[in-house]
Amino acid sequence: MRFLRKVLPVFVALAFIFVIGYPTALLIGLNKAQSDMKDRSRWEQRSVMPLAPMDLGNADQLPFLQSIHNTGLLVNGNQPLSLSAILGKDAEQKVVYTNLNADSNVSLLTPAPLEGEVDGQNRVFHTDRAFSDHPLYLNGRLLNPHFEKPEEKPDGVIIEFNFSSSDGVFILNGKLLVEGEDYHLDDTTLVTAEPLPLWTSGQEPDWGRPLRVSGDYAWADNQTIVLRDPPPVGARLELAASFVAWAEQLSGSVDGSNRTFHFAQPRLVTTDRDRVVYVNEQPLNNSGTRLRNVNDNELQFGLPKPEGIIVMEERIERVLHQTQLFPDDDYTIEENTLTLVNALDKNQSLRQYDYLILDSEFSRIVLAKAPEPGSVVWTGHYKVYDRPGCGLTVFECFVTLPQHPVPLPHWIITSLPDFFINNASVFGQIAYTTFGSFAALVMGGVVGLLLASLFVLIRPLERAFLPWVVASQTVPIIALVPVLMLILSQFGITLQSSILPTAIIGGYLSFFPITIGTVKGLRSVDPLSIDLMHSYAANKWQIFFKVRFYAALPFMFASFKVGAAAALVGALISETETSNSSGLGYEILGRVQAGNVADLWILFLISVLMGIMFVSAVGWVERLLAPWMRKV
Amino acid sequence: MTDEVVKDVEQVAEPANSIISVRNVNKIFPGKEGDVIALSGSNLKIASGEFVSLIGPSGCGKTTLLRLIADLEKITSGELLVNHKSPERARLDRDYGYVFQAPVLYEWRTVLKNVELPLEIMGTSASKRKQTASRLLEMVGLEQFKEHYPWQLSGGMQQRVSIARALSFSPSILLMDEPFGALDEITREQMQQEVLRLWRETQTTTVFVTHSISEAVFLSTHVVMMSARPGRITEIIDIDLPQPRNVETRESERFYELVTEVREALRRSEQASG
Ligand SMILES: Nc1ncnc2c1ncn2[C@@H]1O[C@H](COP(=O)(O)OP(=O)(O)OP(=O)(O)O)[C@@H](O)[C@H]1O
Ligand SMILES: [Mg+2]
Repeated sequence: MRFLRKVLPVFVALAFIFVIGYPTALLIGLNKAQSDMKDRSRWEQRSVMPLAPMDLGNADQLPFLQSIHNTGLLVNGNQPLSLSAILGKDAEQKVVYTNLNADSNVSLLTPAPLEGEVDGQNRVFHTDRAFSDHPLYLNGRLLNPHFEKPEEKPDGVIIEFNFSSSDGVFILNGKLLVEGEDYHLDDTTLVTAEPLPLWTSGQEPDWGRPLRVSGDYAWADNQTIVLRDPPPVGARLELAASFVAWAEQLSGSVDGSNRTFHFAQPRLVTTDRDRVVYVNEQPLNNSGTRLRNVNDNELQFGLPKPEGIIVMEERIERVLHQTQLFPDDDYTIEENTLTLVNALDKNQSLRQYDYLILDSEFSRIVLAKAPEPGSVVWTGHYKVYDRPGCGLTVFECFVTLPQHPVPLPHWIITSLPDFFINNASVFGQIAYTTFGSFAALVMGGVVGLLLASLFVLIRPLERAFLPWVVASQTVPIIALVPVLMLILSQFGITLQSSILPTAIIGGYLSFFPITIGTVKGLRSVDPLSIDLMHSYAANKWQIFFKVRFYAALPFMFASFKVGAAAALVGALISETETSNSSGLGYEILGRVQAGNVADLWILFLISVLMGIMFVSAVGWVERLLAPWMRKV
Repeated sequence: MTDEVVKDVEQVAEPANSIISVRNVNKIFPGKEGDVIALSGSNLKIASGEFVSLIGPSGCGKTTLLRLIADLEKITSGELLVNHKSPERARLDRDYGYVFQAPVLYEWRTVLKNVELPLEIMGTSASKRKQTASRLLEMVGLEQFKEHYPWQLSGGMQQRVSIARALSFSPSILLMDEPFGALDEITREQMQQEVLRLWRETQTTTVFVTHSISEAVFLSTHVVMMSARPGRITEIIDIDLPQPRNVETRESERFYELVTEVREALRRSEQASG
């Protein structure tokens, strides 16, 4: 029975924590989880990356991790897959599939062959297929393609081209330049033996200039690769001929008259204005053709194509604003000339598009021309949003939240053993903080008792200094700590070398309640007991130490309990100083900076327990030193 | 009227070796709602070895008079001598022991330590202190309670401790303010007997405040009548009962006569003050 009475309050307290803890954790967490679910930026974004040839060779199946309903698969390269609903092939052998299931498996493709001797000297390799962006692997390691081009453009006269450094080989028009024969280097300047021919429009501009291979390799043209360093004898050089990328079929009826299409719902894919829309294999014009004025007035423009969506564009503070114009309302068309109803402003221009993404939110697309019945409208892209990063239900998201501001109580309890195993040093830190708090309490106690005694013994002192004592507590301690550290460091006292700073800061917080409590205690003596002392002709000191002091004890112990808690807080605050690296405060700060909320709660728990221990320790001392006190 | 009374008083109490001498003493407590005249033109002389009781209605200044004698309060005007010295001197010389209306024990001290306290302050050696305190506790019948804390004692026991404490340093004057107010009738009579015995043995001049007429008559050599608003001494009656006094004294005819006399005197002074 007695045991029960002792244990019951603990259970009640625990029950209280649980009753409060779970709803709070859920209230805060579920809310966060819900917004996480909605937050598209929290969805897992994957770019479909080319796979290493070695990997491709070993595995012939690529499992899909996520639902890919309403999406299609675009394969660039070779064998068609053993799946139905082939939508067509284009010149580059792109094959579009649709309606893959979540557990569909896709066979993978073989790498393209590379020609060229691997003799330790050769650095030029060829392929019979036209690529310019496919990855290259050396012994299975993905190489980094990069080149640098000079500022100068060839004009048939200049022979000097400046690069930022001279490191790397040079290529021009698909050929490796030979040093000494084709050029010589003047520090970072390439000086060619003959002037390079003038660059003319229509020519591939990058390849019309000399390039420096600044990465591992560069494409010299779309069939030639030049490596910066010749691959060593026996090295395996492979080109990933094929790679897998996502495509998305747009929804909307293809009846020969509908021009409006939608992205898949739910949206699994990013929508950006630069995405190319295809009708069957035909890419539509996504850059738009600028309409040019045919007359001096700003009303008549030449029309490159008979149909297209006319858009008035205008940059306002660098942001592009697009306004769709409608025939009859905004313009009329006669032959190849478009006539506006209202003239354009100077900063406005007209463009003709094959399609327009009307708004990114609803992802509506309007085509200029209704596709033929039976055609497939799709967009190609390499970015996919998986299912939400947090999970499919709110609770899943709640569980997988990276940060739980308030974790479920049992999580804290179950993570305790791991915490102590992973943070064995925390025991040392607890001891350090305990010592610091104790020093702080001693400091605060000595100062508090001294001040209180002076105030009671010499009344004018109280009137003079009590306002300062009160003011001291209104100074934000956070602001005070760095200043104090600075002052102490002048005397060579630092947190590393001495417990004094901790003691001072904790003492600063704890002396206040001790002073106030003790003054109150020393004053709350029964006046008759002082009269009695006078009747014995007792002097001031005898009255102080034999009566006032004892009468003040209950108040003093109460104020010491408050002071003990304050000393702990002060010690923790001082330990959060940046230069420090020990104590519970340091551990807490580290977790705050790392965003480790789970550990933080455990550290809070430890601090709370320490606080309780401190206060009860004062209680034990009280019972020991003042056994006469009656429990009420 | 007042003058007559004063004359009367002077005629009655004029002992040669007065140990307490109160002459035309006034005590005024200034206050926000007007001054309180706690004592006005009071005269009293108490000879060595006398047992004087102060009796009067509540608020007539009995406690105030004791506190003036004890130098816990200063007189406003007049002359007050204690042991032929100023009250302050007498206090510093520890000439009196004071038993308050309430026990006023120090709760952090055991019964023994409470009784030892005056000796402790006076610098008596620990062993002597303990011996004296133990003897006094035995005298008031509390030797088994030495190591108890005050809150473990009944109100009457606490008051006995406070009497023992007042006697611990053998003062030549004992001031007692309604010490038996909280006691039952039987204990009270025992305590009266006890006080009388102590008084006889120690020859301590005692000033005793009480509300009980029979107590005043039984204990005292003189009973001083006081009246309120303003507080003043109206009459002093000699109690000529033979010593030592005991149970028989209470039942004697003279005792009843004196009780009646005191009661009538009190009534007179009450009517005089209106
Ligand atoms: N410190 C004080 N300040 C102001 N007035 C006081 C003070 N002490 C006593 N008095 C007043 O002086 C008068 C006499 O008080 P005193 O305590 O001497 O009465 P008393 O005769 O002892 O009464 P009781 O029998 O109730 O104890 C009262 O009117 C009281 O209000
Ligand atoms: Mg009184």
